[in-house]
Amino acid sequence: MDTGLPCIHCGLCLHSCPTYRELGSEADSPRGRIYLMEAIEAGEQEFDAPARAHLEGCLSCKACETACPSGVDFSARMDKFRPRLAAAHRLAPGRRAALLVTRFPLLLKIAARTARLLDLLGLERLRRLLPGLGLMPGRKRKLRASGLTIGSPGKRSSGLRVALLQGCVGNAVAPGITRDAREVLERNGIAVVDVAGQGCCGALYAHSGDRERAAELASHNVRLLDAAGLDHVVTTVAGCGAFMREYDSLLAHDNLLSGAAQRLAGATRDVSELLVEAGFDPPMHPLTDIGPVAYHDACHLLHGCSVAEQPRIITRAAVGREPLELAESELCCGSAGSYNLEQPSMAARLGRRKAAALGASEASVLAVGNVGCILQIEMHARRAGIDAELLHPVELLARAYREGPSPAAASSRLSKIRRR
Amino acid sequence: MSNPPLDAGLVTRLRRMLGEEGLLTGEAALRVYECDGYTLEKARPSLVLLPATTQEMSRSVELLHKAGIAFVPRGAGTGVSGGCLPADIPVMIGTSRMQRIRRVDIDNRRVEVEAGVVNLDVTRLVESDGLHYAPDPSSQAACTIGGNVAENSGGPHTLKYGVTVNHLLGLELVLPDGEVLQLSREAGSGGFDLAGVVTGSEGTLGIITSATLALVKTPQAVATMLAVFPGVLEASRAVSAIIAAGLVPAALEMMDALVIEAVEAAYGFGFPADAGAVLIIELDGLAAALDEQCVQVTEACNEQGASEIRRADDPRERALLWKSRKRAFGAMGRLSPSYCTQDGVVPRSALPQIVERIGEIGRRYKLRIANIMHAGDGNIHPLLLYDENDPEEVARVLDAGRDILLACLELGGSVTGEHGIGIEKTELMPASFGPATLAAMADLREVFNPRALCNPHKILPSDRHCVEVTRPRPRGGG
Repeated sequence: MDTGLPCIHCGLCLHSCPTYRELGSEADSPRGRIYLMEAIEAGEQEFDAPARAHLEGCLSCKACETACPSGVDFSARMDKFRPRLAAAHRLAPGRRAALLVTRFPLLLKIAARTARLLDLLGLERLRRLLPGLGLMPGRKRKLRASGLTIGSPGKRSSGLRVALLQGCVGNAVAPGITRDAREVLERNGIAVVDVAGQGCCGALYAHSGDRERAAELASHNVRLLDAAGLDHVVTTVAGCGAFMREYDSLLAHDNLLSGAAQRLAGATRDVSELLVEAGFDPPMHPLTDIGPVAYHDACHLLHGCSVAEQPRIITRAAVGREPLELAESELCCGSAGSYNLEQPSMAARLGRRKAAALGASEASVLAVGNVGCILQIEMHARRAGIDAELLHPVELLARAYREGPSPAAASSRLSKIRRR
Repeated sequence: MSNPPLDAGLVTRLRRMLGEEGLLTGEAALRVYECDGYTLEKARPSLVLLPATTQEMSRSVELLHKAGIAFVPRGAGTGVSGGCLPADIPVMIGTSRMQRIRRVDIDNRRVEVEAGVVNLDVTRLVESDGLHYAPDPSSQAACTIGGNVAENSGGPHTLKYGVTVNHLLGLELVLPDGEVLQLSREAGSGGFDLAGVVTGSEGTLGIITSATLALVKTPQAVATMLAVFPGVLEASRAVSAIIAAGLVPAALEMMDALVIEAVEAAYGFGFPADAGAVLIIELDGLAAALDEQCVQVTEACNEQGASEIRRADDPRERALLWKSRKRAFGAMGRLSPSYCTQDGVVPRSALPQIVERIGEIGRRYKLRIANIMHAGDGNIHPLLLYDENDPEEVARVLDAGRDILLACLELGGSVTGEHGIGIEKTELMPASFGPATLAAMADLREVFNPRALCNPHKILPSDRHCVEVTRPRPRGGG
């Protein structure tokens, strides 16, 4: 595996690293982790429990790669090292649970419904404190398709044929996002093809050091999606999208699949990216009455795919104004794949930090292009008593398409203004 | 090389006060503290303390002072002269957990922040009020205010705005015995300017725990220009011509062909492939005046043989141009596995001579040397490229670096513009200052730091310089 250019120890990555920001200890920074890995590889440093802890603390958020002036591919170095971490001891229970869920998404659906039931009984505050269930989405996020279809089918066909990646976890927990993405794409003349039998993209396995299993899962998806004759594969989950863009290097040595993997990696788009690329209809009636709206960068969109502008364009079109920026927007919320299950204490610290930034922004809606971040930030916001609604930008756009202000809504808005 | 272990009772007391996260022990946690951005020499501390408040800092220092144990402060470890190298210093004290913003006073254009606050975050804090913190070292996205004050850091915009000391209104300093001083230097404070004395003292007079900083109004308009020259000599002459025309650019930076090659590979700005040198010229002020000044700059550059001059009007293009410049050091990794950044100063008029001398030295030692310069104030940064797995080449790099700095002295300049003396340049101090001046400096240090417990062996030459010079190690890349 190509691990890129050497680290020159300049330290410019430090402030970008969430764990360094929390702990202030350089062994918990990218520079420190690289230094440790090099010393372990050189046989100078024992691969002991403290060394493992510093390395396992990494969120793989890739913020250091954006900060690095030398072009060090930190993720590649970390991924190369992960099998050693995995071999050193059994996987943390949290990660095992997360991997189990990728095989049996039904478990997640059950958890999500249990959570909803508890919320209906008025027990959300309590439920938010529970492990696992605390992360499940709240009552505001509908589990079933609403049955509404988006207003007037807009413009002519774009001629594009795409498939939506049925992200295993994302789709089970927040099927509304996938549904809205589909409707928004179709509304803009992009044909969405059903490709049955898709599996997990493999990212969670790769990040657990099991590159073989990740490659198996990737191969399955590559075969399936490449055969479907698509222009693009569209993701609504940042982590999956970032990992699929690495399919080419993951499967580079597979003589049969390397070509298809390269095609698929090149054809992967985030939903906001494709909408901006192909052109989309701005909604006739943007959601101007939903209070202040902020946008938060999901790490794997910002640092993993360099997608920062497009979700803001979508959000701006949906709400009719420039979204606010959160303080420390570039800092990971602590969700990070299955990190919040494996390293609950650091994940919670980062979650609280993000919730505090959300509270300080006074936004009533936070748009985030990744379901993992949505769940994590929502949980910590609720625990902190912050009632902001968390939505994927594409959900906001779908809502704007659907909800042109009806006369009734317009009059109720008027009455609100009068009351003031 | 490691320092000896510490008394267990003392460590226990410190841990009780600072908590588990405030005290680091063990090989895995300490290893990275062996060096900062200057990697030629290494030494590992036995203990790292990360106090979170001034009180914790003061108590920690007091305990160490009582026990007679030497300590060295560290900010973000982005320094490049080994100023926080723990050579014969058992304890390192980091400011990374001192993160509070103590006061934001927009009306009086000042902020008070703790030592661990990052330079760029100060500007982020006040930019919506049309203000910014002017000193902008290339590492500003990571380096901390405490470190900036200790090094009296500069940056590309110092030509017009000055360095850290010109923006410093006050300091909180923990003396090497633990006592806390509040040092104000706002107008009318009276007394000696002790905060000024501490600025640039590289952690040898005490540990800075907070600083009050002056903010500058963000200019109404900015014009950033790029001028391309056939070589460094022509570009150096253009620098003098611009200043002679009576202009004070906000920044006036030069990059030579090797640097351009590296940053082009890294950021793809679109520098012409055959450029021998480029100048980045930034003018700021009232919008109405800028067009005329741009014409003057263009004329000065054309007279010195510029092959192309363009103005980056698009903010995105301007940002990319500055990114190319500010991250140029890091981009050098694309040309060479290691490099050593030198830092020297010559009078602006002597830029053509020093460029020629650097060329000669490179040829003599068979080294590739790239040049970045804050050309406006004669501050040169030759980058000596080498491979650290080649000990013989490392030796040539050290010799060539010394020769370049001696050439700076000969031309009437100095051995450091902004990176400090640290541990790297102590041996050059006798060549830079007369014995009486050096003795006065030693006396000053004696007043603040009588037992030489706070960052010993730095700045002034010392006979105890016992560190491990880096030895070759396989690289992780590949």
